[in-house]
Amino acid sequence: MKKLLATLALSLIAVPLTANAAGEQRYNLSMPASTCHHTGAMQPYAATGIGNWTGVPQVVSCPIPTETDATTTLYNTSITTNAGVSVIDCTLRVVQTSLNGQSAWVFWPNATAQNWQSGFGYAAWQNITLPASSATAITCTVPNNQTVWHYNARSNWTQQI
Amino acid sequence: MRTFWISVIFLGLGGLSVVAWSRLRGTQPSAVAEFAAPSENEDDLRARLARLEHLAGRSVAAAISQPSNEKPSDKDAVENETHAEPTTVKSIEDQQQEQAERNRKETEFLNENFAKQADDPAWSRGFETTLQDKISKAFPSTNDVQVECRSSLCRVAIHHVEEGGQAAFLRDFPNHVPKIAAMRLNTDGTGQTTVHIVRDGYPPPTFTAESDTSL
Repeated sequence: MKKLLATLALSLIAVPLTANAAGEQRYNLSMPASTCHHTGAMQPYAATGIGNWTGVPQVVSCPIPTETDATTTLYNTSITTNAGVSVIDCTLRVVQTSLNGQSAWVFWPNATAQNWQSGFGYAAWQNITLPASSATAITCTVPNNQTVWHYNARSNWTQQI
Repeated sequence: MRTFWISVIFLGLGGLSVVAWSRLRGTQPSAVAEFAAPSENEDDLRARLARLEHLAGRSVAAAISQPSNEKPSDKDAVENETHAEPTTVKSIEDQQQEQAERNRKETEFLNENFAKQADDPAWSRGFETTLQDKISKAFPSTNDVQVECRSSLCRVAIHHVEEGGQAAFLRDFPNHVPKIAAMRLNTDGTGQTTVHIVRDGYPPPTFTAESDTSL
């Protein structure tokens, strides 16, 4: 009975945090795109996705939770979409605003992997160091009749949401 | 037999409790015991009160100046009482002033970087036109726009005359730029916005303490 309780407790702690050999904890985030911010006319589709059937391109922005007081490493960030005929343009955007709000840096790290074939789309960014006081999101311009499905992030941000 | 052992355990626990209670009663701190004794006259009471205030003051000073996980010695407590420096916490105004100064220096740093760059006309002329078109289409009320590009940096200066124009530009401009590596938006409180744009595939100039030649 004690072993069972201990195993249950450990399994609750281990998800979604994992520790590597050096003892560093990494956070795995996997979210349905239906939770992303989007321009008004887009609609949830098949439980997890969000689709565009408006006839004109729409925008989806999926926030990546990160540490704001210190630098965060995003080991891998990705988003899955259906590619269809048109390419869905997705970018990772990092915004760092100064304390007094007078200035802001905006960064667009290059994607390290993109695949727009076989009826689905996939874009990934690897090993990005985010400065403190920054906010990060994947932003996609979604053409008509296209859907965004899921987004994922693996980082050393250890706080659970 | 089982009842016998249970009785033995309870008796043992009871005995231990009596011993612990009597020890606790017998180990009152001497300072407290001193003030627990009945007073004989007013002078004695005043002396004891002064002693109590001294003890209370010293323990508070020691508690503030020592980390909570360390047990301070009497010597340390006295030294901390006499040499403790107040913790300096910067006010929001000071922090904002420092940030404004840093912003100014970083803008100067980027302007210097831009001024030193050689021109790459094969890229710069076309990108200047693209930026001008994007800005004029997305922000039609903005008419005082200067755009200049070199080899990997562009500098855009805009003077906003319309109320709310600057806020709208800062909010929406990042959604209208063509593919680039980074940009820095800066305002100086006079309706002027300066944007430094880093060409796609090029690293942004990094402002560090070493970059600041005025320090």
